[in-house]
Order: sequence, then C-alpha cells, then structure tokens
Amino acid sequence: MPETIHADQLVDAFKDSIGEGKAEEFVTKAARNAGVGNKQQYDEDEALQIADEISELDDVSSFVRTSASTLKTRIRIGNL
Amino acid sequence: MATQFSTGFGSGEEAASTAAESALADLDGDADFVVVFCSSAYEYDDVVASIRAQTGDAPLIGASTAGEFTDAQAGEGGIAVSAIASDEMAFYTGIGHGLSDDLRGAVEDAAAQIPDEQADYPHRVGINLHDGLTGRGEEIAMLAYQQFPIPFSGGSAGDDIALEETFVFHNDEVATDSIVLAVIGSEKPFALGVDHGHEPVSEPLAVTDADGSVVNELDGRPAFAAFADAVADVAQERYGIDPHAVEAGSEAFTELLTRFQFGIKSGGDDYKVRWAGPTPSTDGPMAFATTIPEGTELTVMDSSRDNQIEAARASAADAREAMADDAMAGALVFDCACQGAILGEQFGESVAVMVEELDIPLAGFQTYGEICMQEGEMRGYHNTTSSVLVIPE
Repeated sequence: MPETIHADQLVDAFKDSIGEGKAEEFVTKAARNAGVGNKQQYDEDEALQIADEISELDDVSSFVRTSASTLKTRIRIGNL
Repeated sequence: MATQFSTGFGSGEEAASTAAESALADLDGDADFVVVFCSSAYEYDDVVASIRAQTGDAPLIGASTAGEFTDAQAGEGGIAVSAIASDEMAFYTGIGHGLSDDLRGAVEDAAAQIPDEQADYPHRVGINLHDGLTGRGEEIAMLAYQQFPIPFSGGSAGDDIALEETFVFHNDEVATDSIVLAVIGSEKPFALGVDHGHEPVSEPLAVTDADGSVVNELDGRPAFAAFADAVADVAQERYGIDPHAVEAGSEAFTELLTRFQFGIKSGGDDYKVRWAGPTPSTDGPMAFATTIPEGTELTVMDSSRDNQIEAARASAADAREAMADDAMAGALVFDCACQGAILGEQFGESVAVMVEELDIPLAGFQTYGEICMQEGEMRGYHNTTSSVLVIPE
C-alpha cells in the first residue's frame, strides 16, 4: 500500500527556509500544475509529482530546487 | 580490537608531526582513518605530507580551520589530528572540485569515488567537509544527503576569520573550492548531537529582497538598517554598541554581527541559526554564510557566554544519550567560529564540558558552518552550534 503523505509535511519541508506562507503557496501551485488537486493527503507518487513541479515553478531559486530534490529523496526512502 | 579513536594536538614548527605521532601512539595498530583540522598558520601541503608520512595510505580527510581542539587542548594556530583504527568499520572517501562553478557536479564527483559496498553496513554516517566561503553550505549539505541518504556530520572549512580562502584535505591532496565526503560503515550505531545557545530578541523580519546568500532588504527596508533598528536597544544595553554608529570593519561591527545572529523558526520553539558575519558594510545588504531565500522570516537572536557553554554540553549530552548503553570510542566536533568569538578565552570551557559529558577522546574545529543532519531532517546546516559525531567503540 503506498505511503500517505500529508500536505502539511510537504509545506514543513520548505517552511524553515522560505517561510510558511511561501511554502504553502508553492505546494498549492505545484499540486495544481501536477494535476493532483489540493488535498489534505497525497500518495507517494503524487507527492513526488508535487516536488517535481515545485522545481519547475518560475520564481524558485536553485536553493528551492535543491530542497525539492531533497524532499524527493526523503519521500523515496520513507523518511519524511 | 573493535574500534579505537585517538587524538593529538600540535603547535609551532613541528605541529603536524607532533599531532600525528601523539594520535598514533595510543592505537594498538595502524590507523585506518585520519582526520586533520589545521590552522591557516601552516602550509597545508607540508602538513598533509608530514602526517601522511606517519599514517601511510589510511584514508585522510581534513579542513582548514578558525580554531582547533582536542580533549587535551584547545587553541588557535595549531593542528588537531584524529586517528581511528577498527576491525568493525570501513572508511570510504572522495573529493570534488569546483563548487563555485558547479555545486551539484562537485558533490556528485566526490560521491562517485565512494563505492556501493558502503551500503552493505547496517550503520553508516557521512562526514561532509567543504569550502567555507561558498555561501551555499545548506545546499551542499542537501546535495550530499541526496547522494547518501544517511545521517551526516561535518562543517564548512575556516581560515582563522580572514574570510579569504579555505581548504579541504583528501589523502595527499589539498584543495580550495572543493568538498570532501567520507562515509563510515559500521557494525554498530553512531550518534549525533547538535544545539545552539541563542534566544530571540526581535520580532521576525521578512526577507523581501535577496540574491543567493545576500539579503538586500528586510521588511522592505535596507537589510542592515532594519537589523540595526531591531537590535538597537539590546545591543546598547548588553554590549554598549550603537548599531547605527558602528563603522564597517571595526571591532564593534564584528562583535555586533557575531553576537547577534539570525534565527529561522524550524518548528515549535526551535530555530536554525544563520550568521551574517560576511556582511561587508553598513550600507544596506547583509551577507550570510548560506543561501537565504526571499520570504524567509528571520528573527534576531542573542546568546550569553553561559548559554554557549550550556549548548556545547547539551549537544554532547544528546549524542551520549543517543548511544544509550553502547560504548563510545571518540567524537568529532564541529563548533562554529562565532562561538569562539563569543566565548573568547572561555572557549576552552565549552570543550571541557563536552569532554566531561562524553568522557572519551575528541577532536574538532571552529567552522564557518556546521552540519548535523539526523533522521527525518530536511536540511541540517547550522551556524553557531556545536555539532557532535560520536564514533562507537
């Protein structure tokens, strides 16, 4: 059964570096771009898609892209 | 034999050979892994050659420092050598060059030299030593973790606060703009600990304009002006410094940026500390040791000397408690150079409380940024902390 990842966990992964407001904005925008919708919980594939989409957002720095790829690593090894 | 950890400290002309000789003397056999922390007072190539003459082909990693210490001695202008011998551990290392051109590429190059067999061990820990002046320490920590998703310790190399050029060492090589990675595989678990002694003294300030590690504006105002307003009262009251009147490059300017760090809230009452020491002037922007993205909320923090010493003790205690009943061989410690600046001649006390808490040999250096990336952490790059890695016996 795929691991379930709460939307707050995705926000938490970014908020200590870019602030909670911006982290929520990125996750919301990325979820929309990924076509997975804004939900409370995502399965692992959906969470990985959101992390991918955050890297593709127009206004993100290389730092946020590196954070997104780190998030993917953590999702894959089940260490979120 | 299991695992033995031994340290040596040297200063003056024969510093390198003295430190290596002393570290090796307490091992039953040859060293299997060597860690060198060296002041900028020395010719690094000569130091590494001298130590390698005694430690042979044992993998060696190291960094230039802003102060170095062992359980026996703390100081500046010296060399601290740790030697580990073990029949239960394996040590793998790699170096990557050109961080400023290609951060990810340099980290990948270092990781590529570390063989897949490291994954066969039930317990692993990574050590990440890198150029301390890239301004991208947090990204370097994350990129290394992506290569090896295991707990990491380590630090950003120093240069005795000259802020000109820092170096890492790998076997016979000395390199700037580079990263050295080590992965230690073990039959027994490692333990990490980290803590800082800072408390908030301002309301959060939002980063409204930033470029990499340079923050141009806080709350829509020139960053230094906003910072100066935020700390004016407390800086005057506690340290007699008027932040609106300090001159760039003065002692008061350095003290202001060393005393007052910035905290990023990381959950509950916890903060990650960020150092704006590389700030060149009072004209506007503030420069940090790592990237600060726009939108970040920064809270100005301060720490007393007592809190700094208590933080050192707490980081050691965390690591010791994580070891539970497992025996400890020794520890590597990564302490921020700011702690040295805050504590001054009392810095030795912070080492002494760690020795008291752990009661094992330890060696460390004063860094330009510390890594302590534990299970479940997204990042793990810190400033003005003590980061402790305990090696099991």
